[in-house]
Amino acid sequence: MARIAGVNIPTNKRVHVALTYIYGIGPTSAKKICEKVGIGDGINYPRVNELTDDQLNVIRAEIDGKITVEGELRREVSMNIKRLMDMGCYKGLRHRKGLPVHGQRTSTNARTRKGPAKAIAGKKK
Amino acid sequence: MNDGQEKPAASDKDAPTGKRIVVAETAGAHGVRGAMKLRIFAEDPALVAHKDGVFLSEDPTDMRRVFLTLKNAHKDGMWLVSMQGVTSPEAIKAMGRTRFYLDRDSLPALQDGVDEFYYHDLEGLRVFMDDNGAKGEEIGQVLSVRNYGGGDLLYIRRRNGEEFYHVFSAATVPVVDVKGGFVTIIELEIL
Amino acid sequence: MARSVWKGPYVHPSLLKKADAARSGGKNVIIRTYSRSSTILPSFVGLTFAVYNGQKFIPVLVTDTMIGHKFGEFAPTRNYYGHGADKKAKK
Repeated sequence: MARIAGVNIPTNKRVHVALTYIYGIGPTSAKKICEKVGIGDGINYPRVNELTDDQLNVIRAEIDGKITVEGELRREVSMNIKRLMDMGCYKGLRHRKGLPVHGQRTSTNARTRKGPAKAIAGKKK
Repeated sequence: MNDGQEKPAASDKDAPTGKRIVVAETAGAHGVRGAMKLRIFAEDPALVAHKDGVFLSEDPTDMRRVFLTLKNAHKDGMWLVSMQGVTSPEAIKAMGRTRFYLDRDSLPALQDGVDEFYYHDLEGLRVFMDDNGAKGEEIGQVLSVRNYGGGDLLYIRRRNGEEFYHVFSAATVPVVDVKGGFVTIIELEIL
Repeated sequence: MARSVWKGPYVHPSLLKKADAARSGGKNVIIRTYSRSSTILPSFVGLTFAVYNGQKFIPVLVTDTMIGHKFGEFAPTRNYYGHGADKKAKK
């Protein structure tokens, strides 16, 4: 069991994959972290349970010190959205209405933002 | 829209107006025990559960009312609400789209000394040009109050039918007299 | 894709001129503009702009939170205005 950045416990996967289990770390930043602390050769990475405690601690220090992850990141994101909504700009209005923000079409699709399709009130034959 | 000609009694910003305002609208039934989905227009949802109930008609003389209790927040800013005496979803569906009203005077009072007004108190006010603090020429009427993010705006219709927005700020709207039914504005120089 | 930094923010040249004039002139001026794509600069804070939305000019009182956004974001081109039972307007 390895705990990094609070609650995350990624185990017996390769390091660069295990790190992406942390909110705020994707494949790219995971590899960058590995490169920085000198784990793996850029192609092959050891599994988390093959790491020494020292190596884990270096990774931990790297993440804690330099990257915003988990709760803090979530808070930052929702603060940004809240700021847009309070300001009343176009993007804020889209967030308020739960519609796509980046100018996508809404006549069809956009289900991620709009949620499950609502049935149109019954039309019987 | 009323004609802004009422002659309210004493007191200042919270003078009785006899007006009713929409606080909520039904958006369907929820569940099997007659809960109601409600679209609430008020900033404070608790208004809907007013202790004296909410009215079913906009007409201030119509005293039909119902008593609502807030249950919990639903998605999309809607609320689940139960209505006294209603226990089946069919009864809710039978109501169709209903609006609920509240007397303007039962809204929470506005803080005195702060330049703050309810939108609907401003709507319908007559608009005069500012003449060094006094009422100048009458130019039109406030149609509505809007906010697109760049501050509150008065949407004014001129007597010649032209409609325009005017910034609602201390510098541009020196006098707001809800009791007297008018505002005065300073027209901005257009650059 | 974000705009290249070396270009600097886009602002229509006439807007800069008008903003200068507004700042040196009296306080009760409103700057009409059709340039919805212009960026709001820090030097615009406190000025009032009337941004065209295709039909009307919407006044926008620039505050410091708006810096970096575009004028068009504050003048919606289509809108449905619902009810606001207890909305308050502040002077």
